[in-house]
Amino acid sequence: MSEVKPSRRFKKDLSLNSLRGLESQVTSLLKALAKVPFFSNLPKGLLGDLKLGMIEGLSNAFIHGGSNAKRPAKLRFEALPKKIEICIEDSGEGFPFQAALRRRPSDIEANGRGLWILKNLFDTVGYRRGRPNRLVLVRKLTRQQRLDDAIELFNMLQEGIQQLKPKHHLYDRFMDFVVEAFNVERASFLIYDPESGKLKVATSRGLSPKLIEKIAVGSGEGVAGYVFKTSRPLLVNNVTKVGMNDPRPRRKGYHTSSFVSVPIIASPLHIGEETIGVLNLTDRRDGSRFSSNDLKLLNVMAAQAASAFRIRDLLDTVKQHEGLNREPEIVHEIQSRLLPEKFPTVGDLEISGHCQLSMRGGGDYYDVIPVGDGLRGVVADVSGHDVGSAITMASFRAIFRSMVFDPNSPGYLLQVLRWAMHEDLIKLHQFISCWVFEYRPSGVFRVSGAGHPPVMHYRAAQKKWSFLFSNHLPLGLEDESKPQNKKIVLEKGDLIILYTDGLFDPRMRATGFDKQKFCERVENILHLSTAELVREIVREVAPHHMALNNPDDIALLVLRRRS
Amino acid sequence: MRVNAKEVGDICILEIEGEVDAEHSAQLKKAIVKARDEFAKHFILDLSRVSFIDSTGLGVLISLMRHLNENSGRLKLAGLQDEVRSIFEITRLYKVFDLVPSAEDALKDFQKKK
Repeated sequence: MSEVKPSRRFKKDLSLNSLRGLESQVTSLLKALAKVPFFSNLPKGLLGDLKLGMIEGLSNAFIHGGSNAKRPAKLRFEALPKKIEICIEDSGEGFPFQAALRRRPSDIEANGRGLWILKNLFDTVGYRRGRPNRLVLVRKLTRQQRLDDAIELFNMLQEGIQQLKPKHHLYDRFMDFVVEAFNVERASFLIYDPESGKLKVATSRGLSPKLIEKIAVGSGEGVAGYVFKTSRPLLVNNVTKVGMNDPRPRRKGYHTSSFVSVPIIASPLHIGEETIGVLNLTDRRDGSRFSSNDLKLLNVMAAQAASAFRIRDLLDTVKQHEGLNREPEIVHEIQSRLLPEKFPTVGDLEISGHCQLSMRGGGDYYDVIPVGDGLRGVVADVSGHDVGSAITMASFRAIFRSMVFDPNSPGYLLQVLRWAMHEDLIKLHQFISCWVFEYRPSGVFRVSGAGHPPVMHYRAAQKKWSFLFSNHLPLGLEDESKPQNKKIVLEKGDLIILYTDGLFDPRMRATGFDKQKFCERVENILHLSTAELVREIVREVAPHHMALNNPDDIALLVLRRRS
Repeated sequence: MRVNAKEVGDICILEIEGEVDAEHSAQLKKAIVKARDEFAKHFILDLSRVSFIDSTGLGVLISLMRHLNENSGRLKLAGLQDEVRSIFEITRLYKVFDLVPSAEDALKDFQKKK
């Protein structure tokens, strides 16, 4: 990993002789933090938590830790891209930390609440008794938490799929996971029942059986019906402030007025994207409200779950058609559904792609997603030619799509993908080779590869080809090296070609097609748009490819900076 | 922190402004004890101008609530700002205290129940 840039780090030390002016010193520290551009958009709630945490810790240093004018309490505050760490030192006798941390004060106890508050505000609360005593508070920034939680959910659902657990088992695991991750008392997963035309409870937590039986929500009714109808996630944090036309919860009796509700959107065969249900969460155990970051995280998790439920359906389909030899057809359908239908537009970049799927099926795949004012994408090849490969590809896509917005480099994203998929690939004896790339409107193309054929770069001004080779091993093999990124600055007219190995199948040399022939052909049709260029390449390759016995898939992605 | 006490019959309305933290809690405690000893059976704490409260401040409020419970008195906390409310939510003390939108609402409640 590259070294953290100074602008992404904030450090401040305080030394206090007394409690006098404590609140204003802490407030000033947080104001200084907010002036650093990287930390300028921290949520108000997080800043409130940091303030309360620092004041609780420092008050404790004076009241119980014996700090005074002669022995000042010291605070070290450090903000890094992924966490905020607060270290508070006092010179008192110290206290038995673990016992104190476990103890929860009763509602009528006037004292002993400070540590319990800290435990609820921070991801880690540590204490080292000594000279000085040191209290360490760590709060992960949401982005990292989001990444970790999404990967954990992904792995859990994958495990359920591999063990061929029934779908209601996946629903329950999913529900338990989100209830725990969001610390809620009540949650419900409603699925659309085509017979009644209503949303009904598939699984829930914290609702009485009587109530579950009664729940039948029409499209557009209340929060869940609204989310189902619009397919948009929704955060309601104050029922009294929602507008006349906005949805309101249908049922009274919640402890709080804070709700989040997200659609479960699946991509079934033949009928395009479809919302299959809605996930609702309410009543946080700690009484806090949901934030927009919670809503984003829940939406990512819902996407993971939808993908897992869909894969489980496909496995049922395969099982039903066992003996009918429909497997290649199903594999083909899964793969076709996972490819993007259109490409995003970013500045002066033109993108086109094509995936030639062979009838025996395989695991070739590409994806391109707009991220900020640029884009990120992937070209990948999963080993094998069966339903297992197609499912691995679907999982790869799900994890890529949920991680793609992480601000780290393509190389980091590649290593996260490796980490997330490693156990499954080992179990299934599969490998994935891939390139993960990023393009910025300034023309900067950054890429990181794992055991995949080289990226081809045509320099229009020099009329020359160059090739970038991947540094990492394929996914499914141990590779703990630091993420490697390669950078190309695309000039006007430059081409980038990413592909899978089927494009240059060595057997096609016998009929006269190889990399040199390909390059010559491309150079002759540079005046065409990338879409036409891809069509021409496919037409050129087709006869050679079709002449092969058991031809492999071909995935091809062409990017060009317009002249 | 500023504390202003108002007397309405046997009800004390304490208007508090600023931060109720370890530095200022003793000041609040003093104001409460004074009103309690002089006339007050019931309390309304107007927190609409309180921007911050910590566990020491909560401790003062819990002590007051316990004293009033033992002496048939009642306590209402009025006009909590979002930042202060969130601390009551983290500690789940919103379930223990009687939280009302404003001091006027609290006074009306007391007068209705008399």
